Amino acid sequence: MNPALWLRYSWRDLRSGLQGFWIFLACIALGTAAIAIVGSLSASIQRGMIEQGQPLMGGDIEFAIIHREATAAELAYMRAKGEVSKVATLRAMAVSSDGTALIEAKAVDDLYPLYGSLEIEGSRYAEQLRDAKGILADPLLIGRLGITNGAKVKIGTAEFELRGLIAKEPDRLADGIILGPRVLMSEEALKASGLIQPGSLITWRYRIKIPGDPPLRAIKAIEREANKKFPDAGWRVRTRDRAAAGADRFIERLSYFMTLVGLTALIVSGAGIANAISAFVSRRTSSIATLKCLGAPSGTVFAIYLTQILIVGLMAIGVGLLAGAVTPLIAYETFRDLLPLPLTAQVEFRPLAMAGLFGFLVTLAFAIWPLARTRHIPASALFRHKIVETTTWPNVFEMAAILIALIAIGALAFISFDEPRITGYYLIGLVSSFIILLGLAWGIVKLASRLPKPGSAIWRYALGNICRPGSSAISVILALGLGLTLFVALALTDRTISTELRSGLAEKAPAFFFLDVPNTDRDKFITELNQQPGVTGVESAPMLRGRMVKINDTPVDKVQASPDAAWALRGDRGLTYSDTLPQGSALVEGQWWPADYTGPPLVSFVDEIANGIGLKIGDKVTVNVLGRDVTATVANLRSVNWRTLNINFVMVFSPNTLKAAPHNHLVTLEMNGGDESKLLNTMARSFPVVTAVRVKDALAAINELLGQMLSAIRGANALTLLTGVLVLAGALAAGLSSRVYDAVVLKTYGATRRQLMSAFVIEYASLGLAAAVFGVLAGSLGSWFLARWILEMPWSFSISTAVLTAFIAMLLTILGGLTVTWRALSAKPSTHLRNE
Amino acid sequence: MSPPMPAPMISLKDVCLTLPSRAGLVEILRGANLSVNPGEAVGIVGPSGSGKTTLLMVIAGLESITSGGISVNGTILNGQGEDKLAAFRRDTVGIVFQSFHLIPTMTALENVAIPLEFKGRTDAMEVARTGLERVGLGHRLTHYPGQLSGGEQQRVAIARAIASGARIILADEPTGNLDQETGDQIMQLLFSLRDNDDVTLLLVTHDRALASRCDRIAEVRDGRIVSGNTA
Repeated sequence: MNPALWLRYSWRDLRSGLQGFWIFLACIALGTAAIAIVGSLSASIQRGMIEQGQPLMGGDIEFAIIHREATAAELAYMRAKGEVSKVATLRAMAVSSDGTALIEAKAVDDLYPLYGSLEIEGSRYAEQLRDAKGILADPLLIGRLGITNGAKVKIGTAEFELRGLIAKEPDRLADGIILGPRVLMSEEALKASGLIQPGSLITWRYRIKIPGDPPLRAIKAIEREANKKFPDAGWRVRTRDRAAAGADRFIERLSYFMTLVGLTALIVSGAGIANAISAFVSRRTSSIATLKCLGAPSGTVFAIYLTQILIVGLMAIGVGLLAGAVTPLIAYETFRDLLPLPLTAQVEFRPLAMAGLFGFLVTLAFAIWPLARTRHIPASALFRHKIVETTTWPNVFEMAAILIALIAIGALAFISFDEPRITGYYLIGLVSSFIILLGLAWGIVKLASRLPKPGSAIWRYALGNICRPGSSAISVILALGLGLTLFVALALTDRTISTELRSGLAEKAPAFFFLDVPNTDRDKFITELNQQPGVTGVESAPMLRGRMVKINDTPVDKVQASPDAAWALRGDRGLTYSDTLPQGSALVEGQWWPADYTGPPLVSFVDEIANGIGLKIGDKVTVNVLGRDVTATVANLRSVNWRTLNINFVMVFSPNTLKAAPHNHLVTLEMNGGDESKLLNTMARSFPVVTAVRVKDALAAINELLGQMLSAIRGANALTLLTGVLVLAGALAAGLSSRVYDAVVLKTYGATRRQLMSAFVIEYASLGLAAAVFGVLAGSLGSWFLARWILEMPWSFSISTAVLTAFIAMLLTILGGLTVTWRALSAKPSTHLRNE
Repeated sequence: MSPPMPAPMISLKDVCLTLPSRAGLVEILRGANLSVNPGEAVGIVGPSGSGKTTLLMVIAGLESITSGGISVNGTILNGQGEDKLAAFRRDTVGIVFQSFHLIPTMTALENVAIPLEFKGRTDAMEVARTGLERVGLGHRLTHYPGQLSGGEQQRVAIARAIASGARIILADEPTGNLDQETGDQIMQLLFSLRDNDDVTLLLVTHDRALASRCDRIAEVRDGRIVSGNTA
């Protein structure tokens, strides 16, 4: 062991520059940068969310209750903990003389906001809201209603004066997707509007500012204590570290997805690393043999070149980490006013350490095997240069080092990502891809060597190139196969999201949802709706909000649910009751209850959700509605086509369970022709407390989020393409010198460039075809995996997208290969022969 | 009474070497016998493919023999591990190639210091400098091989071969890539080492005139030494 000697010799070799290392450097730098950038950005946002959790949520802890206000006992408990601010949020309609618009109303008290500040144009908001006659609004409302500041706006049954425009709302992100402009009013104004009706969809939020700014664990203790003290409250509790749970989850999924793509790109570029090092060892054959002739033991030679590769690898990792380190700073300076996310401008060390470790381990795992060749290059290579064996197996120590590095990569992936099952599937897929591709490549080389010799010299030369000693066929298939797999997977994922964006609506989707249609006005409302021009269908269903609390005796937070069903357990869900099977549903299992059923409460479940959370007929489900726990037995399962957007609910109860509870109705409207705006205007004026949601607007808000995801996927696609090109360039460069030599010799004996080019086309097309077939199959499987487990949306497959993507990518890479080879064809025989 | 015969520096007894090839086994050495005394210069001649270079390689421990016995400077080379052979070369043998085989990324000084550094000598650079000065290249210490002429490169190679105090120099066509005048200078240098340092010299060459400058000529044909195998 003489590390000083290894370092000295590595330095001497590197001193002349990094020629021949550029592909190696780029492969590692790109992969490490991808992981470092995504990780840093995500960590920066998460840090921002924690650091700014108090203003983002408007308190240290929030208790949110739907349909009802807190009881005196609950309120007393909260007040004992600190200063309590009460906020009510709901959707409503705003009507002016010229128009109507859906708004996101928020009624606040004088303490709002407990943290941060509300910025408005003009003087302080409290003064403007105190007399319960004024409102503040997002500037968007002005455009939607065609009004100016100071105009009169009707909300519910009362008229208000618009007294100012909101410039910045501190707790905006905590409210998730919003469908209309924000309107702020006082609680008295909300009461005056007549929008508070039994069963109205109002969320009452109680935010507490705890004195002394206690640590998070103290706040978590309050959460636990509150839930224990009021087990039936049915509230949703959030602490300041989960201020923006929805956005947090979206960012987490997106960063999970992008990090997986980055890691895949890094591991795929491992093939490029291996090729680059193989080419490097070939170039150093003479030096290695000379060192051995002069008495260097094989182990020392291996250590010298491993040290050198690690030095260059660390330089590349440094470049990648630098990109990751500056990303939050650049993002902060560039986007802080454009993004609704709390960015922080500081270097995030944990994701950088992870990215660096991934880069180092991938370098080590893929460098050792080709470097093992240095041990097998005999000193006699100086005498018999052309017969040095090119394929060698690592010894037991090198093999152990490779295995340890690979296991460490897997372990690091498990540590980095929260979801072990998904990570496990991902790693199995990745390892299988490598094994299958290597097997495929080996099979093709063997097949080429066993095929009868073709009569045509061009074909013979092409086949010979595939199976000759030192052929680059295996590395080309590996590089091309992995690149194409990733590319097809991302193209199909792009398609899956685009399809979700485009075809979210069935042909006969409703134009409007009307929320909070009072029980007493339901028949009148439907009658008037049916009289409007263009209306082709009206449906209605009773609706309440409630949240699942237990499945049999297990609390929902302990239930193991599949990713595509887990959402049903989170937060509040719409509930309904019905004595008949709802339209658009089909009974799959069990029996529907009789029309006059009066027995113990029953519930019908959507089959895919029931299966995802492990519910069977006869199981008991407890739901908290209006602060009361209701337990019902699962009577049947039904299938639902959600894409019709007809009224449907995950849970439909037998009428006797919920009918007595105060509730409103949900009404959907289908239109064919007719003026949507006019209808909206008419209904909003006749029924001021009813809220209309235009389906197109709601989908547009959701599509905006999906659009951001699509941009990320396209970014990932560009990264993949770059990685694929680099890896392939490395594979081709590795075999270039022998191609030049062959071309020179063949040209010397009369071969034309056209003949040689034909042979190369045959060779690359055969290898490309094999890689493309694998790429289509494995890429399709990969995109299915991404859709189901990461994006949680229906997989959209198209054979033409997959095949066309693979074909175009293959064509481009073959053209790239031929461009590289053109150099070999252009080589002047005389120059080369003189130098030989 | 004549003085006792010194133990031979190099001794090959019935050395056979068979290498595998795609066409089957190839017998390269077929019972070669050779004995070389310390300080002796032996020219090895023979037609192409007769086994001259292979003979040099087995003496350097670069190729393991299939059968027979080989001893160099008292070390039995048969059955030695690769690392032991590397150490043997480092301490005992200096090799001079037709194509020089200097490491292109190292300076002349660093190239000469290689065997000394592998030996763990802390004075490697000083010794290497002395070696280069001795071959007349004291002014080219920091030059890279690419910046040196063919003759200068070969002189660096010779300095490297003797730097660690090697008792044997194996030279494979050392003047093959050089013009007549430079070649003569190199040979003069090699013979002066034999004369002044009592180094044993084995010189593989096609050039009979050059070989005749040695103490004797051993001729190799079909893997055997057919003449001049004893001093």
